[in-house]
Amino acid sequence: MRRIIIMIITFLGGLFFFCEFFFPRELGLTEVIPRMSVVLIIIAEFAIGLGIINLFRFHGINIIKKRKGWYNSFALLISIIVMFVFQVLVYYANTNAAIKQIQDFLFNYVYIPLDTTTFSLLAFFIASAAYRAFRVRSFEAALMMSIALIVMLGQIPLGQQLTSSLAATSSFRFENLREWIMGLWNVAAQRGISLAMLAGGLAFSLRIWLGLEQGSFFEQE
Amino acid sequence: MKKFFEVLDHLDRRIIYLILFIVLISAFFIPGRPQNVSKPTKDVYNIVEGLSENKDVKEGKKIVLIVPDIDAATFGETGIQTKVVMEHLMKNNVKFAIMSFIPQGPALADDISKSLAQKYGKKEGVDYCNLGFFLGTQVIYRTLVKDFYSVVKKDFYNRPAKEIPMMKDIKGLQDVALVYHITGTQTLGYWIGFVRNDIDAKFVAACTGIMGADYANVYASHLIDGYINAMVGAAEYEGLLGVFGKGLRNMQVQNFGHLLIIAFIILGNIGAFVSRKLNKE
Repeated sequence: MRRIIIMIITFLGGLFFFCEFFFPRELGLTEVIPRMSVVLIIIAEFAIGLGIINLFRFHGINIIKKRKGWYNSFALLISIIVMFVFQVLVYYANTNAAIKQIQDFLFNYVYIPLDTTTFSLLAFFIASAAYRAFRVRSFEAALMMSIALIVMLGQIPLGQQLTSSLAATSSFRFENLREWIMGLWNVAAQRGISLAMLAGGLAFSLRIWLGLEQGSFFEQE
Repeated sequence: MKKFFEVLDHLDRRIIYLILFIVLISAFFIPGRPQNVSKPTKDVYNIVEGLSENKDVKEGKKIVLIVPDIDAATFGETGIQTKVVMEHLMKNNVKFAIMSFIPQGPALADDISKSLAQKYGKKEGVDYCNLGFFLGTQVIYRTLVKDFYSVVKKDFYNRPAKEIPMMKDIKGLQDVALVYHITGTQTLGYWIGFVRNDIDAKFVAACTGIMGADYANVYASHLIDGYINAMVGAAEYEGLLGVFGKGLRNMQVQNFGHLLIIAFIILGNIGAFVSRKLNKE
């Protein structure tokens, strides 16, 4: 029964957006869009709420049962609670300077540096991976490495300096070579990939819309 | 000799990390070099520069919409991309509104706009405003076009959006002269799919380095009128603005980082090639 209800709601939702997009505006469906946005916001809020409950259930059990790495779960839950409490306090007591200062401190000097640092570590992994993975073992690997080198040299001022004695419009200047690769070969490849992805996406959407998709949720029933 | 090339072939990653760390830190102390300007960046600059000639923009009947869909992880690139265009707009007395579909976006953009407002003597609410965060579903983008204020009710500071002085003549996205979208995510597709064709505005973007290849495709298809690609684009824009800021300085660091990676690739290949040859012998 649950599956049929979900299928009907999914089909009707899909039918609405299909008709709104393809049929003339005089039908009046477009005017309903702002009201639909409120419905979607409510659904999304529920999804966030469910996500938080799920996080607390999963990591709460980790802490209670003292599973391996339980302290990571503890840190996660404490972080969620602290950030949540201060955000709510700022919203309802935004005239209180001390609360705002603490919230600003947590956001600007704890959260942002942690997020930035995690992302910055990628530079080290990329350097290490470049050293190990970019090995010329075949013609394709050599081609890929040569193109990567040209694009990198075309991107940086020192690389651009190497061919600066050539005329500004010369095709052999690194920056012009880079633009040629990015604007022609890259675009051709990207368009091929995009078309294939969109065709796949369309097929997948149709399967969901028409209730043909047999995902994990339906299999459990 | 054989031992040396074997070590080179299987160099400990900690040594690579240490060398990279030293090189990157040292590069901060070396002055930056001017950057050749690429066409997509030049296009963004020309469009922003051209706004000061637009009669409606001059009279405040049209504004620029800045969409910083940015977060702390990509802030090293996207923060500078946001700053350079905001600075250009403030320099030319063009009013702009900020709205983001990423929760951290409005707070990060607010810090930038505040510091620039001090520099150029601009007033929040009069010369620029921050409309805050919005949940980015496909329907919301469509609603923005149809009924702007049903989505944009309050600003970042919890004030009614319609009461912001600079928004009094702005009825919706039809009164936007330029949309500038900055992101490290895939949200550009929504703007192109659901907004771009329904409004009469120029559309420019900025992306992180890793997304540059995607954006080259979007730009070549004329779906955007220009874009700032990664740190290099931000540095190019700083050069056009005549400002020596974080973009040019950080580009110098990236400059040395790239050169080191190129050196690593060459060394790794020499190590692998020679040790393979010696092993055969």
